Amino acid sequence: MQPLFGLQARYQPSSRLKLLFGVPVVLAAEWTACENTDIGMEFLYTTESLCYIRQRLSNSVSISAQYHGSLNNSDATYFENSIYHQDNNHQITYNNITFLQHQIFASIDLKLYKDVGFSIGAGYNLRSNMSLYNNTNKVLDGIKSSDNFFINCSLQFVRLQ
Amino acid sequence: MKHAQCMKNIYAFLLRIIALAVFVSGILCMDARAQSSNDDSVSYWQLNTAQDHFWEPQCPTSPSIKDGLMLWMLRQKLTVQAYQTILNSEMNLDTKSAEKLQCTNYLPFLNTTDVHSIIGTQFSTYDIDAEQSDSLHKSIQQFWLWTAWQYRYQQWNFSLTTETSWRSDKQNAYSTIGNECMILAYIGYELNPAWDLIFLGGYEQRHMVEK
Repeated sequence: MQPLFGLQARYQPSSRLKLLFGVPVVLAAEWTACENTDIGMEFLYTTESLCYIRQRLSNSVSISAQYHGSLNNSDATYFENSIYHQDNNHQITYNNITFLQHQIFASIDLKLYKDVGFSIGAGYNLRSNMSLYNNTNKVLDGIKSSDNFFINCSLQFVRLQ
Repeated sequence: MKHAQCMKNIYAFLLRIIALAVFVSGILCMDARAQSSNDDSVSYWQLNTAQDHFWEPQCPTSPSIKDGLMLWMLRQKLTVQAYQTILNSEMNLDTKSAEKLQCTNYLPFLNTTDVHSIIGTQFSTYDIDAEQSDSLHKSIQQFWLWTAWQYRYQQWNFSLTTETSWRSDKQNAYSTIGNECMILAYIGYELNPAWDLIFLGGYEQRHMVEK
């Protein structure tokens, strides 16, 4: 059992500006800077950060560019404490992994109907750094992946009042 | 050859996505006249944000969200996501492909009283395939269940959430299976229409065993 605590404050003077800060969300902000432009950022304690800018081209179409950085450990990564490495015919199981990944991402968002949206995007996983630990000892460090390409699409139902 | 085949699969996937986008654009054009007003559209984009933290139950009030009832309606959101990437990790000097499919749904239960509840579910499957037989092959399936109850009394908001997930994790050498449970309580106080303070606390437990 692991206890969790946090304290957040939220400030929203208008629908154009939203601020959230404290722990675990250190700082998150959304600002409608111009009539059709949204700027946002988010910084979570030790794990995640992102920033984006979104431009509404019309009532139904918007485009956005986004940076996303995530620092995963063995509890959160997809490779949770079960990745292994073949080294000189010896198989090593790692108990702990930290994995820093930067992503840049662009997407097109479409508002199909009043409550239905669809988005499609593509981006790059930039070179990532990975450290592997065996129990409490760091075994390997500085492992880097190459850049790689990803695409995704999503469908959203957002109910307005 | 395998790399070429993998790239071919990627291109085929891209073509399908482009075809889908063209189809959606067609629907969009046909539906242009039926679009709602500009005000509704701006509201839609502001609500359909990439930062769901603003709409989590620990933040139940704002000038534009006057009561918890509307908050729960906002959370009725379904996301289906397909994800494909090429991992080229130097660790195994190997090229890998990965695919992720995820479906998330929030189902609100609205009451006329001050007590509201919501259930969220998520299913995700994630697969890594590799060219070399001794390299990483991995498959993860996860089912996630989230529940929340909220009670409002004047400027106070009390929320209780539970989060449970079951996870199966298989790869070359062995597989693990287990679950994770988390329970969190939120106490929110609305200082004024612009400011909210939220205190949260709870417990998390994780249990994974080898099969």
